[in-house]
Amino acid sequence: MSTDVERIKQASRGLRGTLSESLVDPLTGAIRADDTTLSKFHGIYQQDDRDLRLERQRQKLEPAFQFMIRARVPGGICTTEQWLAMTRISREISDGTLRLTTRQAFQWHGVLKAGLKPLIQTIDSVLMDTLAACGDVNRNVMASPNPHRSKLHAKLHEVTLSLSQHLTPRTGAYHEIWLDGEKLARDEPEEEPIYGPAYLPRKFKISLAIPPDNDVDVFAQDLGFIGIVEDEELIGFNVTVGGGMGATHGDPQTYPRLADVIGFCRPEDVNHVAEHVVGVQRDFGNREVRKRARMKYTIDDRGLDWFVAELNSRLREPLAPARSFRFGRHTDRYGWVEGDDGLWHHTVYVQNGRLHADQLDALEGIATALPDVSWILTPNQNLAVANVPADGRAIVEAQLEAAGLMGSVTPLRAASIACVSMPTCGLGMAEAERYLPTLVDHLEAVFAEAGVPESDTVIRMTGCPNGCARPYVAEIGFVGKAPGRYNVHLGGDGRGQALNTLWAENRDEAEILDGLRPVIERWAAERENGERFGTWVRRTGIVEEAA
Amino acid sequence: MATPDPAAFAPLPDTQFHELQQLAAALRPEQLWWTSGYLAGLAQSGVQAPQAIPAASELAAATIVYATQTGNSRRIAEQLADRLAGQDVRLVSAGDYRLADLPKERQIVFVVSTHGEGDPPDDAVPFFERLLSKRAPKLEDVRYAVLSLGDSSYEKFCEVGRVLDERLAELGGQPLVDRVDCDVEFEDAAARWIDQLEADLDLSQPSNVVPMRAALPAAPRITRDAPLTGEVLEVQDITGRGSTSDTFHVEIAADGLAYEPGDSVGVWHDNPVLVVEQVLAATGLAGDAVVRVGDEETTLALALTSKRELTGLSRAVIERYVAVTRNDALEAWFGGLERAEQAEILDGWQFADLAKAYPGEVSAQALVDLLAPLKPRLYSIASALGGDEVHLTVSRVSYERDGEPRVGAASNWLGDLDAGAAVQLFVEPNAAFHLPEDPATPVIMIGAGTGVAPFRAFVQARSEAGAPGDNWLIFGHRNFRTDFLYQLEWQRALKGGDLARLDVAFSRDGDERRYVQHVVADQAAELMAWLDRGAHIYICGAIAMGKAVEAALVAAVDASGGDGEAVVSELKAERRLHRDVY
Ligand code: SRM
Ligand SMILES: Cc1cc2nc3c(=O)[nH]c(=O)nc-3n(C[C@H](O)[C@H](O)[C@H](O)COP(=O)(O)OP(=O)(O)OC[C@H]3O[C@@H](n4cnc5c(N)ncnc54)[C@H](O)[C@@H]3O)c2cc1C
Ligand SMILES: Cc1cc2nc3c(=O)[nH]c(=O)nc-3n(C[C@H](O)[C@H](O)[C@H](O)COP(=O)(O)O)c2cc1C
Ligand code: SF4
Repeated sequence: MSTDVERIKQASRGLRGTLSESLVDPLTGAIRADDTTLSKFHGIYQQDDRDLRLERQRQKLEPAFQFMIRARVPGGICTTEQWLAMTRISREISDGTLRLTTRQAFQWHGVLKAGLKPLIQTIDSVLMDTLAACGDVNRNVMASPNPHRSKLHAKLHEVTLSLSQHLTPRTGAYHEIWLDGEKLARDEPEEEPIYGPAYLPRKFKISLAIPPDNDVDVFAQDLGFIGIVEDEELIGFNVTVGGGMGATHGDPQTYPRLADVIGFCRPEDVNHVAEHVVGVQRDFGNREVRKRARMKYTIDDRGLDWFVAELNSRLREPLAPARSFRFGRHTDRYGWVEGDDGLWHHTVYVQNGRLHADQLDALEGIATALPDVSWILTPNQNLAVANVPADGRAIVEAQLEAAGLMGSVTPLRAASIACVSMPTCGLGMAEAERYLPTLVDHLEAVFAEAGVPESDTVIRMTGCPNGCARPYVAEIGFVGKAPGRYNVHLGGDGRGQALNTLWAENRDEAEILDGLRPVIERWAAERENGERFGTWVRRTGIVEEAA
Repeated sequence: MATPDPAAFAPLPDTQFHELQQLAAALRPEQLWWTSGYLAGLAQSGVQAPQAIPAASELAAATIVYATQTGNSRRIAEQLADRLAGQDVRLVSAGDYRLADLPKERQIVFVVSTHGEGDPPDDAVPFFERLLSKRAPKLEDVRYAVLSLGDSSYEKFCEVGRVLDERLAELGGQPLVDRVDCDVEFEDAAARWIDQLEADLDLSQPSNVVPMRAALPAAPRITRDAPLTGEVLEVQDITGRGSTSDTFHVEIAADGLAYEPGDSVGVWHDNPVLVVEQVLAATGLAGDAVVRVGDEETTLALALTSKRELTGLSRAVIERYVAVTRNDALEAWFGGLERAEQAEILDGWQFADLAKAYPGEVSAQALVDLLAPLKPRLYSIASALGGDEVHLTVSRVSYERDGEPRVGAASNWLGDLDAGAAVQLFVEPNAAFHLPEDPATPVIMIGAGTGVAPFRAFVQARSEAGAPGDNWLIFGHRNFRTDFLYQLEWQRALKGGDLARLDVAFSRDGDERRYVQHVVADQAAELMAWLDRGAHIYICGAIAMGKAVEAALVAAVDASGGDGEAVVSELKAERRLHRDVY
């Protein structure tokens, strides 16, 4: 398997493969098998509508092949012009919805092969891209929105953009295939100074946070930067390495891991440090066993000390000792906040990040009336309308209202997220996005009956153990096992700094509710001064501390 | 001069000839006479002498079938195949495996996983459905092995492998080695199983014994008036959601129905309830009125359902209706129409349309007497796998007239049948649309919509016979996503070489309408090359499409510097251009 992916990357002539041929094959809605690996580097996943899989097989038709496309949005910020282009794609090319992801990016589902080029060209027309939104390279760089701390945030955003740019692959394949750019003169792909010809052994993820907000879940990332602020100045970052969520059921060789803090660097050194962390992983990551190829395993296989030494040997100067920091939460704050520059920002809860056509129409009203606002995607799949002048607030509220995004939501629901899973994700074993809202209905009742209707216990659900909604740092994590059945994990800390522990396996809805009810009731009765559910279950030994 | 050795002339493999000699030696003279007559009768009765069951030697000594969702089973199957590399072993996924081959296997090895809640992997679902259905073949000399992958944290641990094992045994299969159920960490158990199989599989070249077919019963002749009663095995929609048409695939068990690819089948249908009700409503008659049809007494509703043609109209029926109802207005109107206008009415109106537009007093008996007898409908045979099955590809006719629904009789009746229903059918041979005699002759098949049906039979037949000639299919319909009839089978045929080329035209996908004749035009040069190699061309589908394709052929030859008209009429004279249009 791993050897396959490695072979395809090597032979791909800078990620070209036979994509151009695949796109014009009229006999199938799919692209060639090898190209499905390469297309990911271009932000394109081949999928099929799993709801129709069996039906179409009986009809002697191939699966309803379609594509998911992901556009990178470093730090989650885009302009109104960009926002409008994204929504136009939903209306005209994809299934009508726009999906905000857990990495502050956009996704479209249900795009047919013929729609790929127009879609990417639309994205390109507003100076965005899908290149490296997936694949064995650095993914969309996340950064805490923090809009209320405008000055700090501006600086953070600058660092984020520069870093994202620095780690973008250089291949011209993207232009050639999607934008009808010039073909390679000789059959020789361009150099990849940071990645080399085989790119990385596996995906690579970076986020930047400024405490107390850990909305980007910095400890779940391969590489993280924790902003250190003195006198409202961003003086540098603590560097973290080796986080990751993905695991496989029943395979103890795979597991979620929280990142370690290994030192401190100045803002101007961020690109340099990142480039060399990537370099160590590129040179030492496991290319034989793909399941063990993430950087967290490279670190566990060789030891953290080895890793830090190897890194420091490559840096201009070794990392400085880490500074102290304190996180408060890893969920979003909703509603209006005023920035220190006098502009206003409004964050709303978007159920599982999915915006539907009518909602997009209503949001367009904001874009028309206030073209200078920015649009921020949060790491929890939510949306903020930012940089609104005080007198524009009424318009924003009216349109958000029209989009159904102002309704009151319990804190429990507002703190919950689910990955996509069915019917598009080929890896999903159980429903997630389509089911979590129903399960939360039931859990709301349980919390209310226990006397804690105001609880903001962090609940996250994924359709499989890959962990796309970062369920292993949730206070209650549901991880899909089979249709209608989930493993239940308990014990996050509400700040993204503790892994939870598997508590019950392979449970259906009734078992989940019957099992959780007494625990929640006991917590409500016994917790000490506002102690969080996840902290309490660990303190009382209901689940063991994660190793 | 010595008498020539008959074995040298017999079209039989040595072994069969030998068996025949043995049989002959054992028969008494009167038995010998009877047998010779019986065999001659068989040969003459039109029963196609059954093509010898493909010799076991055509299949590999061992076949490895895997059913996988996430690739584990496939990888193990590949490991086993690698281990046996160089020997007579075939590797195939359950989704691609033809159940018809199962009884012919000598040794078959399965690697299967369990998913969902005890379900097979997605693409293996149809395989398992068929295997578990009563259509599953008996397995007499088949030896099998099963490796089952699963995860013991699920309730239905390794369910699929267990069910498979039990079913194979029930069908008569002989286990080669015991089934092994593997848990999540399956590598070691799988490796041991592979070792064991390597030791226990018999991969010596199979002997060339061709099983003698059991003596056939004297087959009665099947005709339009003495149809065969078949049993519906399956009616399956084959156009996807959102299609603008509704086409379905019908499989019928028709024991003893002999046909050749290219032939059609005649189906005796009943008129659907809606059609009968519309006639009753238009005439104001009660369905329970008693009427005579021939010597039989029955109700009007039953007579209209199964004895009379209601959706097709003829001049004679209009005349009789005019006479019975003394409907001068109708007579004046119809008589006053141009011939072409009349033809349009006859083609497009059902009897209910006539009776509604020109109502008149008519008794139940008079109605039965004036209507024409029910007429069977023809459908191209879409299968050639033998096994006493016949498959059809049917497009459901339904439309509106003056805001009222109208349905085609036979296509709707067929489409609404359930498995197990009885169907009366007979073969309508179409000698002008049979495959070339020489299996090496290339064929170009051009079909739109259900016109693709006979080509499914062609490709199956040529594949089964191992015909070396190239096959080129040009298929057209409306939308790629929903109307690519038998898409999976064509893709497989292309991959496996049963099709050398496949071109498609979908008329409603792009801005411009593209039809099969456009493919003919675009591929003119390639087409000429095939014709130079002696290719036969087959065209099947709607009449208008047939004309358009022929015109495109003429133009294609012209474009490549030839005389289109001349070449096309020569092709016809040489019987190399075949048409089946309706
Ligand atoms: C859309 C998104 C979930 C969401 O609901 O928002 C998502 C969706 C998918 N993820 Fe993810 N992942 C998403 C964030 C994550 C995260 C969270 C994060 O990055 O902070 C993780 C856990 C962190 C980590 O990487 O360890 C994550 C870990 C995975 C994995 C497991 C990786 C591993 O190391 O084992 C896979 C599977 C794989 O890579 O083989 C995966 C694969 C997938 C794919 C592409 C399935 C596939 O490979 O065929 C999913 C597409 C589903 C669909 O139909 O849209 N996704 N995925 C997120 C998109 C992020 C983005 O914009 O780039
Ligand atoms: C040799 C041969 C092979 C054939 N092979 C196939 C095959 O493989 N597959 C297949 O599906 N069919 C095939 N047919 C056609 C088939 O025999 C039937 O004619 C067809 O199924 C319709 O029959 P029906 O009883 O459903 O419709 P009928 O009850 O006969 O009704 C059809 C009537 O409806 C009229 N009509 C249809 N659509 C409209 C409309 N939109 N507006 C107004 N009037 C309309 C027609 O003019 C016709 O009078 C073949 C025919 C022949 C002769
Ligand atoms: C969604 C899902 C459901 C499963 N259900 C079952 C089950 O009901 N019984 C079982 O024994 N194994 C079950 N399994 C485990 C698989 O059979 C096991 O992972 C096997 O190794 C997969 O093999 P494959 O890659 O060939 O499909 C399930 C796995 C998945 C992903
Ligand atoms: S967690 Fe699993 S099911 Fe959910 S989107 Fe990621 S890969 Fe798909």
